[in-house]
Amino acid sequence: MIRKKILLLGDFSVGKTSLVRRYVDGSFDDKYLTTIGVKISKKLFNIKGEDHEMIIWDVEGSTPSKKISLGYYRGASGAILVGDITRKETIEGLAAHKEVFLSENPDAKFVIAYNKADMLSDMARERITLDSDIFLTSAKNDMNVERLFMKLMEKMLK
Amino acid sequence: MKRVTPAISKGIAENKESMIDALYPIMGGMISKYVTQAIKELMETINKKIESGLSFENYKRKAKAKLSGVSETELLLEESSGATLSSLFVIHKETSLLIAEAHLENKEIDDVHMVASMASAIKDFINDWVTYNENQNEVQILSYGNATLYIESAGSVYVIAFLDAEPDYEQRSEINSFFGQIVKEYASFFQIFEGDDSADEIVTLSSKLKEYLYEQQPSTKEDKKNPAKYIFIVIALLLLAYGIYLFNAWYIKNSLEDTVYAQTGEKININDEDDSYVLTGKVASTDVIYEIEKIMTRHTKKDINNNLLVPMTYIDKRLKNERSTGTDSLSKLENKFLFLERNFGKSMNGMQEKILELRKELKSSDERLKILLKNTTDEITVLKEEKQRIKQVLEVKSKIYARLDNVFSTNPYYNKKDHTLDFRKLEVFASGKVVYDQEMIQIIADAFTKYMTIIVEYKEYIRHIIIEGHSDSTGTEEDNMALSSKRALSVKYYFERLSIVKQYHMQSFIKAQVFGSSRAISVNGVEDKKASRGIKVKFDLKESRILDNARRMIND
Repeated sequence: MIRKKILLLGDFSVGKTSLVRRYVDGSFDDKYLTTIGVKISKKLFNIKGEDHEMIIWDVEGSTPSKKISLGYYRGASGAILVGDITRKETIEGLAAHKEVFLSENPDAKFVIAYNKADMLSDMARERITLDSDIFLTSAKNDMNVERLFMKLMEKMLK
Repeated sequence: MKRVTPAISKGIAENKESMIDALYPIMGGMISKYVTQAIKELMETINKKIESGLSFENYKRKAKAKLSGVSETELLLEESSGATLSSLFVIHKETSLLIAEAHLENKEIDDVHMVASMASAIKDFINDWVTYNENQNEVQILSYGNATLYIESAGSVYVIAFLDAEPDYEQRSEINSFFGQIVKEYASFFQIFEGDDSADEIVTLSSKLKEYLYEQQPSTKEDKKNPAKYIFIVIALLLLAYGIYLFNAWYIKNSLEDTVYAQTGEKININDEDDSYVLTGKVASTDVIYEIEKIMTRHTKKDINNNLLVPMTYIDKRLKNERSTGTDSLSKLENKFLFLERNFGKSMNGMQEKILELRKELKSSDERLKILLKNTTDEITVLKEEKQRIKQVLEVKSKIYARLDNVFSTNPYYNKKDHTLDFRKLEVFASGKVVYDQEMIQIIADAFTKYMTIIVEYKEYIRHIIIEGHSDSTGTEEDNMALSSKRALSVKYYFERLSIVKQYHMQSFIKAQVFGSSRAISVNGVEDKKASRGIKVKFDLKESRILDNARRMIND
């Protein structure tokens, strides 16, 4: 079995933990997130008949006044950068998260989640520009969550 | 770049103890707190060992201290420091992924890959603030409750050893030495590791980890060092137990022999064989044997096999006495038996005669009872018939009275009170005469015929038609009786020739009855002589006889 460490990065309250909670096969308690700033979960995949396992590091959201430990970033093969589509500043902040992540892991892959899409109207959703690495997601409605993780795993295995 | 947040750094700088307390539930005691805890637990362990002062281990330790010259406290510290190693993780430093692991049986950990990553995260977190605050040291011990994680880092991997207490210097050195060998052997594999656990190196590495894990178990080491020692101890204990058993048996045997001698004056041998005591020797009499058996029963619960002997002279004498006593007793018993047999025969004869008499009496009583029963039944039948008859007679009487009352309702000579024809007010007879007046007798005959017309319908119930003869009180009563008799008979004679009497053959029913002047009629105290010289006619039913019969049967 191939195992990969992946990170879940983004500002506070963008819905990272909710995304993981709906998706994983096993997880530590949320209290680790609030005390040491990270919570470990796992997710099993079977791609083309071969088992794969993601060890997901759900990292506490950072702000300009609070940085997270770079030790958590090391050795990650991929990352999901999460922003809240209803809060413009969290989408704009994704560039900074991407920069830090790639500085520690230059060869790593990433995908982007515009989360809380259930709070948008259909018209508003149509106006958003997406590409193959960006997904409109909703943990509440289970929208595109599976596709998001699968896409990252596929990118990491290429 | 700073490796911890300013807020945490500030918090640690201002109030380190509070931060330690806040972080303690997650990452175990911090190093300083851990040391305090470890010492406390160490002291508790030592105290427990001292308190168990009477244990075999305690005596063994004391003996060892005497022989080796090392103090008992040092030996206690040595005993207290042995931490049990239950699991080993080898983790890739860069990715925090688990490369290989091993566990003792029943000590397996769920979700080892998540645990490995979480332990790495905690280690990174602590390293961040320790490095920032305290001279670049790396965390090596994480402790929570009874679980201790010893972390040693080298090259591109680090090892985490799971123990139940903090390892001492010697144990840490041993783990480090083993870890050094692993790193040296698998260095090139560790460098290229990318999360694939199907590599052959992982299989061999896991096997080595497991082998090392089991080598570190204290009991295993002890057993391998000197297994013969324990066999020797077991044999020695068995021999000791057997010796105690033999001594105990010998002591009880001698004690019982002494007790028997003290209480009976007889010296006997008592041997303990399997589950019973065998008694041998000679005693004076059988009574003594019984006494010895009582003593043995009081002092032991084992079975008693009594082989004690009594001299033949005693037995002969005893047998003679018993034979003599037995003969006398037998003779007396025979006499008694004959006496009882005779008395029994007599009693039996008497009883048989008595039974025959009783049977006869019973038979006689039975017959009498049958007769009595039959008579009673017959009499009851008769009584029933009589009762029916009386009922009929009474009904007839009532009917006759009713009809007479109706027919003679206006007749001046009919007396409604006694249902008679009273002709005394007619001057049928002249004073002193028995010849009746022709006119008057015709009146009487008409009324009598009318009277008889009703009476004859009930002939079967009629006993008499009575003609009463009366006189006044003139003259003697004897004369009056004769006079009244003649008067009644003359009227009777007249009546017998009436057609109604002859038609129904009623002649034999007519009777004369005389009263003389006994029923002379008085008006205001003065005799009415005319009215007193007359006759009365009445009838008499058979009812009186029937009632008499019934009364007699009841009296009987």
